[in-house]
Amino acid sequence: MNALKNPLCVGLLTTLAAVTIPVSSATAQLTIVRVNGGGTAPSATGSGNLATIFNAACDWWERTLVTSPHTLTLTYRWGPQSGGVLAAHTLNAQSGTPNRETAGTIVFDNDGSSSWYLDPTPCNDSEWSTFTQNTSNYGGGTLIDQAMWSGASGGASGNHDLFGVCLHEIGHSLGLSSANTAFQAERGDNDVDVTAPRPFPGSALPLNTSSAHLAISTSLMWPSVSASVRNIPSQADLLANAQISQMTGIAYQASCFDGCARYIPDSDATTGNSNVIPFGTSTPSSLSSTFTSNNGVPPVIYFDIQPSTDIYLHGLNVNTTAAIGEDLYCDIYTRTSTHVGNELSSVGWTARTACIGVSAGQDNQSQIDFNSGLYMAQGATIGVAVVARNFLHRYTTGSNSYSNADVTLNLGSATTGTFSGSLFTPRTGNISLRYQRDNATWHNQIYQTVLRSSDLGPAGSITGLAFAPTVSGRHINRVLTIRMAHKPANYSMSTTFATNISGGTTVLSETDHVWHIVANTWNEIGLESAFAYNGTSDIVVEIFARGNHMSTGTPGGFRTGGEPRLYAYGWPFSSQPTTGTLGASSAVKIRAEFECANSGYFGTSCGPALSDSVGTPRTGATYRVDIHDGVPTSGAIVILGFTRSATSLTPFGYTNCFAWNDAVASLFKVTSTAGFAFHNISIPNSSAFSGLKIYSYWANLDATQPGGVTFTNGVRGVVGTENP
Amino acid sequence: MTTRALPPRLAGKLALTLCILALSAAATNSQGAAAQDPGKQGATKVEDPRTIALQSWHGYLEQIGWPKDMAERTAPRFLGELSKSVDNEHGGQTITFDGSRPGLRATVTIFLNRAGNPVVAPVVELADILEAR
Repeated sequence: MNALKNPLCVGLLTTLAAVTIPVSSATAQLTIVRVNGGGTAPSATGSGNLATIFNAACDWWERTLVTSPHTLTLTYRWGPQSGGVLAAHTLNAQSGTPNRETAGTIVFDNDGSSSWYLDPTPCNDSEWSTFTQNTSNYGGGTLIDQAMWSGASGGASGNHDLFGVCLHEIGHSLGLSSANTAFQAERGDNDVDVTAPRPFPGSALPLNTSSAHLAISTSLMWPSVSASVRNIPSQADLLANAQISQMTGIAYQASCFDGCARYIPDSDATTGNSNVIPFGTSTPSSLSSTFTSNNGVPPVIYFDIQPSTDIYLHGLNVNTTAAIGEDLYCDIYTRTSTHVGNELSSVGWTARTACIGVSAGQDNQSQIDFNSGLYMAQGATIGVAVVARNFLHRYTTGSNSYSNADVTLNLGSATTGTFSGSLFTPRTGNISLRYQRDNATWHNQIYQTVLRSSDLGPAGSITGLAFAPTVSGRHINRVLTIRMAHKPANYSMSTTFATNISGGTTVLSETDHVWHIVANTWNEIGLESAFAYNGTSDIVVEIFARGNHMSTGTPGGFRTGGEPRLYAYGWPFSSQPTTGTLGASSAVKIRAEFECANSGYFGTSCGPALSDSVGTPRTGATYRVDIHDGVPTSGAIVILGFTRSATSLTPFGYTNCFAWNDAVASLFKVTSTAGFAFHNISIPNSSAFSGLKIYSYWANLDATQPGGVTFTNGVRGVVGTENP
Repeated sequence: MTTRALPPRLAGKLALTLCILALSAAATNSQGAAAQDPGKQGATKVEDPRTIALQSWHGYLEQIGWPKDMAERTAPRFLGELSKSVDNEHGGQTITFDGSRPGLRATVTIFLNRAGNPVVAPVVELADILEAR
């Protein structure tokens, strides 16, 4: 028995995988014990509370200071403070080598003189519109000395952000405290002298002459703060404390990371420029014969294509007798020589792809889309057969040749059966080729960008990468490979692709990758292998995308943010570039998913029936996979598996159909009168299953299709403890 | 010359009187000596409040983990100036010294009786503060 096909074995393997995911050494070593000392909360705006906000601030510091094990107990409470004082930190105890505070008390003003904003969701910065990261060089390299949100709205406007104040006060307990003897020892020359192994050694961070604060007005640890802003720890703030307390490093982060999704640079899938790099597409080229028919009705037409340059054929427009709006199903066969003389024998013909479209009525161009694009090399003669499953072709008597700079089209003939029946020749099929040159501008791309450690946060298993397209439709890549590589924090990209991705791991590698994208939302691309993030490094992501095209919908781009990118596009297969153009910004927005529950569909159906899902495979929840547009009141089999595949079923008589998983289990259902059926999958309430992938697709009994069965597209679910 | 013995009753009274006088003198001498010994009961009486406050800082800093020499060296920076002195229920003064500066709260409050001696433990506050801008 194949152990991988046994659900119990898979579950066990998944459990083992989950518990062996490396835990960040950067994040597990500082422990802040939080003791709620109570006190009366003052009148404030915002529905948050001190405990939630204080905990979020503690989490932040725990994740951003890299240290040998250290435990700090902080008691926090509301209490009156004199004058304009917002909060006060008192050191209660310190000890150890190196010396560190071990107990402290923080009191937040409740005498009514402070106007507080209590954020109910402190890890969501949506109350502010602008994030500013200022940088300066203090002698040890350029570092971030300001990380501030401004442009407050709602309750955050005009009030002091309690979350930012908590971050400041906790910062005192980690080194910058007048009662801390390590601070007193460091302050002799009125600065904090940063030394290795901490980053930016040689930096001299100026200190306030009268107190335990930085003399950097943009920093979190400045002794006063304005209303309407949210300050978070900058690299300068982190370094000062790391040096004073002899912690080994810092892991600057610009976000709170309270969920499974980490956004670079932000979570807004609706804003940002639309850029056709790295996945973008453009309108395909075309070459048409004629659509003035005078003959026809056989189901199969034949013609030859002779490319003058390498091309991808993405689809056809055909002329059909089918009524306007009727669905059209067909199969594309090709051979490596002319069709002439080969119409009545299947020898040499290969089923290449199913095609699906909608009729525009006779003598109009009806668009049919290929499930996968067909690559055709220049100089070749490729015989093509368009075998209609449920419609009839119209054509024009006689032979004709059409050409442009890219391709020549020689037509043609027709038969009443698939490589059989009566042959009619010469006949000019009424068609348009929809294709793109292999070296079309946005067709082939190599692209790299950096996910910053400051945005990625703590270590974990990255099970998904999501992008934000500006258009909807079916995006197809003939080849799609995504690799990821750890690089030192603050990595500066080389112009050489291989340098940036050295030591990388392949997380997705697929031919004829089909990605159903929805505009202005986050779309997970279908990562096949998880990437174990170490919690301290940057990650270079490389996207190698050949044959970018949209088989449905409108060509378009993806939302961009502000990280650097390295790119090369428009290159032909034969001359893949090794270097690219380095841009300082405008990298595509990315959402890194750390074991988020997620579901999406992939691949294509070879007939009318389609599959999708409802909900996500979240632990403890029920997840549903559907078949729709199937044959009414017919048999439908849902096939479940744990490993993705794309196995051609053509050899089994199901032309251009695919099996999309390893078929661990299957269940028989009966479709409704609307051609619908579903299957519920209950996900165990255990985080041990996080990251497990569940693949499904359906087989539908359909006497009108080749082999009497059609198969849907695949659905991919990733188990997680929470939704992104 | 004629010698006569005192009657026994009178002699007893005289002896008692002498004894009382002797004890009184001894008692008087004892009180005077104590008042002149600076190393005993009257030590705090001669300290000024600033010294008492400074010693309070020493004690506080050592309590939160400062080495003795470092505490003694740094405490004067925290002491500041006398900022408040009010009568208290012990017949003495409650006195606060304030060494606070922007970003730092450093105060010590001592509670003295009529004789100028501390009557309860001092209150020391050393806090890092954040102010509204």
